[in-house]
Amino acid sequence: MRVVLLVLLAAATVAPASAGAPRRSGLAVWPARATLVAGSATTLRIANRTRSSVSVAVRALGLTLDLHGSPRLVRASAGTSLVSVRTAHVVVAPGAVGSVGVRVSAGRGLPPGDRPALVLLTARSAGGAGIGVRVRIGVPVEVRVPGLVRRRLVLGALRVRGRRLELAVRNSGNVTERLGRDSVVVEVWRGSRRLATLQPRPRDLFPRARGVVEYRVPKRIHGKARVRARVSVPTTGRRAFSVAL
Amino acid sequence: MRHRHLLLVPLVIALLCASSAAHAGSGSTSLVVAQLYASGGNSGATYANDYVELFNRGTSSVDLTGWTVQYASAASTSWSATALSGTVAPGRAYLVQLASGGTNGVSLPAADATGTSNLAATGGKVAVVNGATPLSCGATAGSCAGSAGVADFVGYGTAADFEGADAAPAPDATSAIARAAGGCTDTDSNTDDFSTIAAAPVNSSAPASPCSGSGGGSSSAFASASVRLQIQPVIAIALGQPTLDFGGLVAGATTQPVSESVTVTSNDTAGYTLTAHRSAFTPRDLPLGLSATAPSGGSLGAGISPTTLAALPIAPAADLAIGSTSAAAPAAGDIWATKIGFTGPLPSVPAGQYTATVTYTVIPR
Repeated sequence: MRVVLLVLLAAATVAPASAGAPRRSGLAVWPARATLVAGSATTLRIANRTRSSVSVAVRALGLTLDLHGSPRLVRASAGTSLVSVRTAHVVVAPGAVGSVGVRVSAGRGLPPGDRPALVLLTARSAGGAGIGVRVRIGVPVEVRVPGLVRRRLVLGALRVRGRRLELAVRNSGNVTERLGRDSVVVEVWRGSRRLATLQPRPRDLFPRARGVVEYRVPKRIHGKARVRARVSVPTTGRRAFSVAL
Repeated sequence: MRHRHLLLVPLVIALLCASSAAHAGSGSTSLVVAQLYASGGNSGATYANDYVELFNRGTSSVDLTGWTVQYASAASTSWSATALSGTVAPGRAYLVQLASGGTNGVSLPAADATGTSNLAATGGKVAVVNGATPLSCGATAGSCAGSAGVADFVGYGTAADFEGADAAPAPDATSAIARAAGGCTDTDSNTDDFSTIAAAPVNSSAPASPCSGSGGGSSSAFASASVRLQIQPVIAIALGQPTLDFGGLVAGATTQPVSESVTVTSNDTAGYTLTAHRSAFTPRDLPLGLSATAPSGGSLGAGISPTTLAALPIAPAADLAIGSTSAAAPAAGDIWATKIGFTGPLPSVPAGQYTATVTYTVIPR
């Protein structure tokens, strides 16, 4: 005999913090990213614009970027062990701004360069029964060990994916590079005529990492063309590709 | 009911350098010290590190291979050198990050070169040198003037050596000294060329700002002023509701998803990525999924659609990528309209109260 069981997903009625103002979960944090020299410290500010106190858990984790530059939380990355937070938990009153100290250890003996890490701030769930919803903000922290800066981007293959170009780039330097309009320039040529200079989707590329930079091809460009890519910051390097768009 | 959070974007520093361009273009070399800050990390400091901002006021790029920025204290002839690399295009800056005197202040923008020279706040000498050999001059006024390879020389505060009749003023905890006309003026007189400003360094990523009439030594008949601002990157996330209510359900039932709007505000021009995961239901797991609609300018992650629920992974599995942006959000924020529901009919499970937590995570790109 089949038994039909009643499942109660409890109606999680949460009392409003004040009349007419439903309790909400929300965080605002600045700076949203930080570059810290080994041995230095900074302060993250957390604003609570809601009408109830927000309890925020803070901890240092790792950060990686996928092939397309989207950040991914991981347990640890190269800079994680160097980052510490002054408090693991902070309560921010309604309308107030709280702060969290972030310190980077001296990193003595480490070779110079950038090491990614992340400080994760988690607003605790409002509680109660049912499906709770909470928010987290990851603040990327670049740990910079002083010394000789080596900046070198190496261009790889170009792929055409529909109306999008994907240019492979390798960072063989020791600092994080922000790949934007000025650093990797891609132009579409036909014969001696330049048809367009493409705007990249900006992204970071960590030291010793590979990734792709994406460029959207204007709808007006079709057929065979020549794509010229060049790195302009800080060293020069260029490649050319024949493509069908 | 939906609330919008008004975010106060913290405006950290405003200001600055306003000066006559009457002498713009005079002077001898193209690569010069544009800004110098010596209180990095000290009590009350704006920035955590000392810095020297170089500027190419000429019309052609400067290859920095073999170049150094050198520092000696006020009366010393013992110089420390920081190696430079890369090139500086006309009108571009180049930021050299130096030592920190403590733990105060915010980080500098990404440096183009890093060194360990610890600039004295009260006085010192900085030289831009085409060469790696440390200088041995600087004990008396004018002693470094004929030194080989010196492209620019700045004595500040109590420095014993300087260009021209007197040293540039000394910077302090919140001020740098800056070359007039945004780095374009070089009359070889430190006291005339430099004044104190609110510290506001830029690096080689800053837009080019070429000097009009660079190297020509001509004067112009108008005055110009440059203004620098540094606005902190801010990111915020807010939810439409803190808990989701499906009411009382029975096994085998199919339910309508529940809406949850996620508002993300960010002034980071690289955008951000929004992801989600959940905890397992207790006492027994149920198949929870999510669908989403991207705001204008946002793109949905692989496997996410506005109509079909994608299974929400259970931590510690990797988050479900809801979507991302590649530009700053509008003032009111990007509103991601998500729906959370069960990906199929509810299985037969024991009666009771089932709880779980859905977590939205936003990280700047």
